[in-house]
Amino acid sequence: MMTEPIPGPDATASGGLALDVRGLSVAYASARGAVSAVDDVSFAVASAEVVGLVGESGCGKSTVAASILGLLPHRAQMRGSIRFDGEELVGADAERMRHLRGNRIATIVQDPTSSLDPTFSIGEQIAETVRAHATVSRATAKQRALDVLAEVGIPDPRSRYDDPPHRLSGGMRQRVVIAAALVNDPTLIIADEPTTALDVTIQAQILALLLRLRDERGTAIVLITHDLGVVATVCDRVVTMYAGQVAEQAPVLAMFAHPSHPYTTALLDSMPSAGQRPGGLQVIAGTVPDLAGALPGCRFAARCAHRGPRCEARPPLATVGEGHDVACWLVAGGVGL
Amino acid sequence: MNDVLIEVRGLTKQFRVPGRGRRRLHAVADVDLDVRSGEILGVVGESGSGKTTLGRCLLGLTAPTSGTISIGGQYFQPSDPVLRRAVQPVFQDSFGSLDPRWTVRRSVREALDAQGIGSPGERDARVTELLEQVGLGAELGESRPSALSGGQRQRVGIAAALAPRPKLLVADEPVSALDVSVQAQILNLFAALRRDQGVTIVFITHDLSVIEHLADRVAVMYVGRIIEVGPTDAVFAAPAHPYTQALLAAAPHPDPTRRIPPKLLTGEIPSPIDPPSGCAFHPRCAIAIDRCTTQRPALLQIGPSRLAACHLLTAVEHLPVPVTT
Repeated sequence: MMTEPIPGPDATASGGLALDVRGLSVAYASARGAVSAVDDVSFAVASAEVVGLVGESGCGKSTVAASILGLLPHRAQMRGSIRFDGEELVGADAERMRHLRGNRIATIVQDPTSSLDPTFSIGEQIAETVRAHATVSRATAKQRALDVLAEVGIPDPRSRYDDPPHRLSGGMRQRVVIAAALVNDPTLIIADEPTTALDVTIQAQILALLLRLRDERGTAIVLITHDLGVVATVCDRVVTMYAGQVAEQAPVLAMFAHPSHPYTTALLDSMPSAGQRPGGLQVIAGTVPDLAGALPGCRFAARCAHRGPRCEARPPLATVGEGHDVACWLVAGGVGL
Repeated sequence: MNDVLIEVRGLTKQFRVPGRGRRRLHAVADVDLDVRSGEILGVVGESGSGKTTLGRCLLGLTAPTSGTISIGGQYFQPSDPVLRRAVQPVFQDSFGSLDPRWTVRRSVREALDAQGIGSPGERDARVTELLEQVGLGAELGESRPSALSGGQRQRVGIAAALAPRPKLLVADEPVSALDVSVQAQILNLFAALRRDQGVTIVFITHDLSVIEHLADRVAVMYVGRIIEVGPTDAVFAAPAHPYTQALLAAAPHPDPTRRIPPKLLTGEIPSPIDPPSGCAFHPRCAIAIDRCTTQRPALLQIGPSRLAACHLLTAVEHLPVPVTT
């Protein structure tokens, strides 16, 4: 992976932030030119804060997650800065990233079966996570695994310890994955669509569990989701991404009460809710732009009802409220020239 | 009130569980349901609720173990081509149901060719009309599925389903794989088909916000049984069954002033292989009484056009259900 760290504005201090992403860009070489999957993305996550990363397919939210976890493919070109608890991760060697992953930075993915080994018992897998990062006895590792299984709500952990993953329901398996993520008491959890595959009553239990962990342990959580209902339910702040860029970021109440980027507004208006409206749901005409080649202007402009001549240039991030930034010419002096 | 188009009575579907003696999975258990002409009936439930098996029985893709389905007063034999044509499917993965080598026109036309509907010229005209109805331009007719977006593929799937002029569409999670802005387009299309052409739709989904937006009536399923039916507005405003109440409370709302409710439903969804005795919801129900553990509650009328199966609700009339007035 080619890396080129650049100093952020507060490169010397973490400022109490669990995660500070500054000017992150990720590009892939392709036959049609460089594909800009993530472009100049900045956001921060404080401890005990849940930050939602929202957007539709191809907006770059999972690429941001892979960048933080050091799991981008080798051909990816990454620029910018990712500070985790004050430590620069861009340019960190593979050994260091392996040490951080599963230990201080944990991840929870959508499909629990893909992150559990079908041939090992659930208890052994969690104990293994403990022993991979600390020199402790088998008995101690087992006790920690039992404690964390109880904490995530697996009934009677001692009797379930030796069960293989397939004996558990989908909701229970996701609890095991969360237990494995928690067992080393991480500072940061990256949760990528953690409840998308679950039933709604089970989803509510898992979301409540994540919030309890945040409150009791002060864990910082990046929640990647396409579901605005989930965002409203658990997030403190929201970063809306479109075509690899941050369109808007805001505290959750402001995001839903005063969405200021036309894309955020359209996304909220396209959500089904009570009753059929005469005009139907709002739809966003057109499609996401091809991210190969030069994209100098606003990437949403081609689909935007408010576009003007100024949208040929990339809009700056303008502040419209406390912690509420919007990348749109409408709030940065108008779309006209 | 509209005429009843589909009458489902005592519908039961059991599957043998392989390798475990005579154990059976009770996918659908004794379901009575009416679908009214021109309505969108939402069927909602979690894993193992039986909603997909119910849809497959309506489509004639799964033969019921017992019970009957009639369409317009005629009993449905799954082998009968006329009735089979009358009920058409829309699935979640429309890409999987399109031949990757065929153009969009050919995929839509296939349904007409296979059933010998109309002359070749009439079929061509019908395909053009269908593509227009689902909002696909004529130029997309020559495209292959790989060139289409997810939303466009789902439109092709809907056009193919509409081709034989069915009386009923059974749509099983048709928007679950789509991004929200694309999902909105397809939901608008379903609403328009019902409004402009009077297409009757059974819309099966786990997504409560989609049901709330689109469906005229909603049937809530739990472990193979319908536990509540009623007009969508009324059920969402005041759910009667304790499970419906818990389900609606658990659904995340796009409103940050409503966070996770303090009282969450505990426990797991029971397996349809060994459903709990009495009311299947009793192990998770906060207000269950002794009777709920032994006696299964019947689906009874509890208000205007509303039915629910719960011992703690008072039936307004002790009529066998469903009531079709």
